[in-house]
Amino acid sequence: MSAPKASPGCAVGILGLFMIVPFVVAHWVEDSFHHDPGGHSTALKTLLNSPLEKKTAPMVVPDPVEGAKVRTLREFYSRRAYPGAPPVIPHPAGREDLMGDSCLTCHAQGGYVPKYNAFTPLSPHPEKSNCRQCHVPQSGKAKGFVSNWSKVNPPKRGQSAMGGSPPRIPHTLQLRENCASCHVGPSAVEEIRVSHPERENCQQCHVPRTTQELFRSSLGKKVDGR
Amino acid sequence: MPICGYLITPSPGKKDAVQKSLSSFPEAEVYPAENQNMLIMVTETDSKEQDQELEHQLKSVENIDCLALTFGANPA
Amino acid sequence: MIRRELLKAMALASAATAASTLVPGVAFADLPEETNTDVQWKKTPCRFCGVGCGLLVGVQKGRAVAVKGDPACSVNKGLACVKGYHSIQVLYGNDRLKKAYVRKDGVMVETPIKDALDLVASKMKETISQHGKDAVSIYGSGQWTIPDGYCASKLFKGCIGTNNVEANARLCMASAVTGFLTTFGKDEPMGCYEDIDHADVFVTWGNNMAEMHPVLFSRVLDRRAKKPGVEIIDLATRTTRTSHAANHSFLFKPQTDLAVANAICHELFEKGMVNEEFVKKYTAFKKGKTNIGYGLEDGFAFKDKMESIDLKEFKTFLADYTPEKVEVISGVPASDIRYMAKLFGDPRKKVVSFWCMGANQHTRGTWINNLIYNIHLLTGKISQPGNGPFSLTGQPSACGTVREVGTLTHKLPYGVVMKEAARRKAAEIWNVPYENIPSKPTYHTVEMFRALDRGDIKFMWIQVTNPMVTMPKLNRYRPGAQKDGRFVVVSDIYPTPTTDVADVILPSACWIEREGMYGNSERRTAHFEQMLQPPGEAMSDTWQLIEVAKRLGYSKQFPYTPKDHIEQIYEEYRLFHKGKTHNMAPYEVLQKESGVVWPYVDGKSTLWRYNSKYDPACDATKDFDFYGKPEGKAFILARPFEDAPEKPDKEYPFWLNTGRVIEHWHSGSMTRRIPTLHQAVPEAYVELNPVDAKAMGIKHGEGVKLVTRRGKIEMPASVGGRGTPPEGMVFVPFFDENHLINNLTLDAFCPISKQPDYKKCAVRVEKA
Repeated sequence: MSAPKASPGCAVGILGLFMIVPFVVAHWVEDSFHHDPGGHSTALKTLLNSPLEKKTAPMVVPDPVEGAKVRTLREFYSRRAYPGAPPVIPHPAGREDLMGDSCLTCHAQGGYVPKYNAFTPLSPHPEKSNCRQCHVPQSGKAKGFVSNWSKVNPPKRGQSAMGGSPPRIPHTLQLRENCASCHVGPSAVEEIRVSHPERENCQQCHVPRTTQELFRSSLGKKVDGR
Repeated sequence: MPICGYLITPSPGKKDAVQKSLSSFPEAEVYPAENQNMLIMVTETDSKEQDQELEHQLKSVENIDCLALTFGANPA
Repeated sequence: MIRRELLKAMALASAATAASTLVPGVAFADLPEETNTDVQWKKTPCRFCGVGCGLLVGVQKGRAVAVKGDPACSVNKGLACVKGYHSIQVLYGNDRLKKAYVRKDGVMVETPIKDALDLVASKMKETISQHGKDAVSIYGSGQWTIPDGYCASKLFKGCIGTNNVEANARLCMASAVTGFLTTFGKDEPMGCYEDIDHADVFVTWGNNMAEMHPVLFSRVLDRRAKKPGVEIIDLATRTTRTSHAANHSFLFKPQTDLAVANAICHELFEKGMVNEEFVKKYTAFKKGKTNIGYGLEDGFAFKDKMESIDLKEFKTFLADYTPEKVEVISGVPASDIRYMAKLFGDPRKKVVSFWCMGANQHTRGTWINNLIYNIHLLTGKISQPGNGPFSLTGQPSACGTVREVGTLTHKLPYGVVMKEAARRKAAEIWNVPYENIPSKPTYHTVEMFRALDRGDIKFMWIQVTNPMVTMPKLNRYRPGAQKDGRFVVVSDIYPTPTTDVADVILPSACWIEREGMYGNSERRTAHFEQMLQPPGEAMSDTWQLIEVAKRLGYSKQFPYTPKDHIEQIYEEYRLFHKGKTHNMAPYEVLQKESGVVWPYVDGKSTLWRYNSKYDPACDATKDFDFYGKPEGKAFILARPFEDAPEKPDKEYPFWLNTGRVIEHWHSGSMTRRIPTLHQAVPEAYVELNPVDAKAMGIKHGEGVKLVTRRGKIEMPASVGGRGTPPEGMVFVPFFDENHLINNLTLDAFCPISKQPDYKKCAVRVEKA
C-alpha cells in the first residue's frame, strides 16, 4: 500500500494559506468582522479574480487580530490524550448526526470567529469527512472511573543537529502532512508559528527522525553472501 | 540505600579486563560501550558506610584511567 | 521498590549522557528497558471492532504511551478511530483487577492466584464427579485470542469430553455463520476490503457503518470522493450518521427487510436483470421450512429441511413480493425498491452490500443473510473485485477465534462434532482418545444460561465477556447464575456486573500484556507480541486455561512452555486447516506482516474465494466454483417474510431497538474507563423521534420511563442527537451498566442460528 502522499496535502495547505491571507486582508479592508463560511467578501473575490499581472503589493503574513486569542502549545497538548492523538472538540459541537460537511465549513478554510475571538484551526486532512470517527466532544460531566493514565512529555522543540540548522520534525506526518495547519498563519500554534512560510517546501530542509540507530559501515564485512 | 552512577574510562585496550574486574562486585551492574573505550555502571549498597567502602575499593581497581561519579542518591 | 528502580535508571542514564557528551555517538548495548527513553513502536491489531485496524503502540519505559495507525496495514492504511486512538488507556484504569478473589460467606476475599486456580480445578473435578461432564461449561468470547479459544476447546471438548463450549459471538454473528453455511456450505466472506476500492454502489443493510465500522466507512467515503457517480444507499430502520452520509436513506419497518430483499429479487426478474447464465451454471434453487418459531421456550429445538425447487417455483414464490405489495408491508416506496433493484441489476455497476447486527440479531437472521446472497447470486455480482456481499463482523476475533477455532457447542477446529471424520482428526491432533469427544451438541448460549438457571449446568467459566449486561432478558439470567449450587468463575480485567455474580474472579492480562492473534472480518489473522507486563498477578486467559488443565491431569495435552506457548499452540492449531480452502500462514509470517489473509496458499493470500482467477481451491475448468456445495453450486433460498414475535400493541405501543455508539464498546467495561471516551458519552439515553417527544411533552435530557413485559428502566431522553428513530420506535445504547436495557429485551432468537434479536420488542414509553 502506498504511503500517504505529501503533495496533495501540501497543495491544499498552501492553497489554504493563500486563502487565509487575502481573506484576512480583505477583512482588514472591510470594517465588519463577519465570519462568512462558504461565501466570500467582494474584496476577496476581486483579489481572487484579478489577473496575476495586476498584482502589486507582495503578500504579507499579518499579525493576528489585535486582542484575538492565540492558540498556545499548552492548549494544543491539553486537547490530546498523548502527543499525536486526535484532539477532542473543545467547543459546543452542534448537530451530532451530520457528517464532516458541517465541521469543514469552518475547519477547511479557517478564518476569524467573533464568537470565540479566535482563528479557526485548519484541519490538516480535510479530505476526510467522517470527523466524529476520531474527534469527540467532552461533556465535563462524567463521574466515576478514575484512570491512572499519565501523559508522556511532548517532543522537545528546536531539535537541531547544530546551532542554527533546520530542526528536524519531532512528530510523525501521518494525517499531518499539511504543515501549514499548525505552523502557519493566525490560527497557528503560537510557539511554533514559523518565520518563513513563504518557502512552502518544508520538507526540503526539515526531515523526520526515523531511527536513533547509528550508521554502521558494512565495509570489510560479508554482505549478501559476497 | 545509596545509588550511584559512574562513567569509567579504562586504559587503552583494557575495556574487557576492567569489565571483568568491576563485574566481580555484587553491588554493581556494568554496561560496556559497544563502540568506544568506556563503560557505565550503577551501584546500590545498603548503607552510607558500605557505599563509601565500595567507592574506596573501586578506586583501587587496576587499568582505570578515569572514574567519574555522575549520579548520587540516597533514598530513605 | 519502584522508586529504587527509577533512581538506578536515572543513574545509568546520567552516566550515558556524560559519556555521549565526551564522545558523541557512543552506544551502550543491552541497557535495561527502563533507561531507554525512546518510544518503541510495535504493531498490533486494535483491541476493538471487527474491522481489525493495524495499530502501532508506542511503548516507553514499560508503559504504553501513544498510538499511531499502522501505515503498513492494508486494512486501515494508517487511519484509526477514536476508540483505537485511545485504546491503550484501557490498561490503566484505577480499579484494574490485579489479584484473584474467592467468594467466602458472600464476601470477595483476595486470594493468591495459584490457590484460586486450585479451587477452580477442584470445583470442576467435584462437579464432574457428582453431576457428570455436561454439568461444567465455558462461555468465552469473540474477543478471545486464537490461543485462548483453542485451549478452551481442547480442554473441554477433547479432554473433559463436553460440548458445553460457547462464546458471545453466538449473540453477535451466529446468523451470519448459518447464512454462509446454508447458502455456500463454508463460513466467512468470499471478498475482502479491497472490494471497497472497486465498487460503484454500496448498500448498508440495517447497520450504522459510520459509527460501527468507522475506518471502513471512511474508505467507502474516500472511494466516493475519488470516483464521481459512486453511491451509498442506507437501508435502515432509523436515521443515523450513516443515513446523512449516504446518497439515499430508505427506512423500512422492523423485520420487513425480508420483504424488501424479496421485492428487489422480484424486480430483477420482472425487468430482465437476472444474470441467467451465472444462475444456471453456478446456483441451485432450494426452499426450507416456514413458520419456524422464535425459541422462546426452554429446550426449543428446530431442524431445517432443504428441498430442491425449480426456477418456476421460485418465481411463483416471489409473486407475493411485488414492490407495490412490499410498500404496504415495509413502508419503503415501490419506486425506491425499484431504484435499488436497478442499481443491483445494472451490469455496468459493481455493488457491495454490507451488513452486521441489523441483519444478524434478527429472529429470521439466517433468512435475511440468505436473501442478500440471493440478490448477489441472481445478478452474478459476487466473488469479484468490487462486486459482492460482505458480512461485517462485530468483534475483533469472532472470526479468528469463535468461528475458525470453533468455540461453539457443535463445532471443532475442523468440521462439526456430529461428523466422525472431524472427531477423529481432532482426537489425533489433540492427543486424546477418540471416544472422549462427544458427538452431540448440547446448548447454544441462550440455552446454556437457561440450563444454568434450571441447574442442569452447575459450573460456568466466563472469559472476556460480560453476559450480566449483554444477555437478553437479564431479569431471568442474572438471578439464574446466582442460585445455590451454581459455581461461576469469571476471568476479566475490571470489576463488572458479571464479576458481581462470580464465586471466583481471576485477573486477566489485557491485550498487549500478552502475546496473541486475532482474526478480523476479511479473513485476516494478525499477530501481536507481548509489549508490557500485566499488573499484579494478572495472567493471560490462555495460561489460566493451561494451569487449570494441568491441575485436572491433562499436562500431556498441554505441554506448552511459558516462553513459546503461543507459537506452539498456533502451530498445532494450524494443522486443522491444512489445505487450499483454509490454510493459515505460518507463525513467522504472522510475526512479520501486519496481518495475513487465509486461505494462505503457496505464500499468497486468497483475496477472492470461489473465483478460479483468484482462488487456487477452485476447479480451474470453471470460472466460479462454490466448492462448499455439491457441484460447486451455491443455493438460492426461497425465504419468506415472517413477522417479529412481539410487535407493538395497545399496551406497549413502541418498538424497542438497541445498539451502540462509536465511543463505547459493548458493555462499556473498557471504554468507560478510558477518560476521553467516557467524557464524550458519559451516560446512556433513549432516542426519541421529535414528534413523539413533543406529543409526550418530553424534552431532550428529561427523564423517560420504559416498560416492557420483562422489566422497566428510567433514563434521560435524547431528542435531535446523533440518531433519530422513526415515530413509534425508541433506541437505547447498551454500554451503560447503570442502565441495563437488557432487563427489558426479549430472548427470542433465530431458530437456525440461535442468535437473539436485540432490535425488536414492544415497549411502553412515558414521561418519568
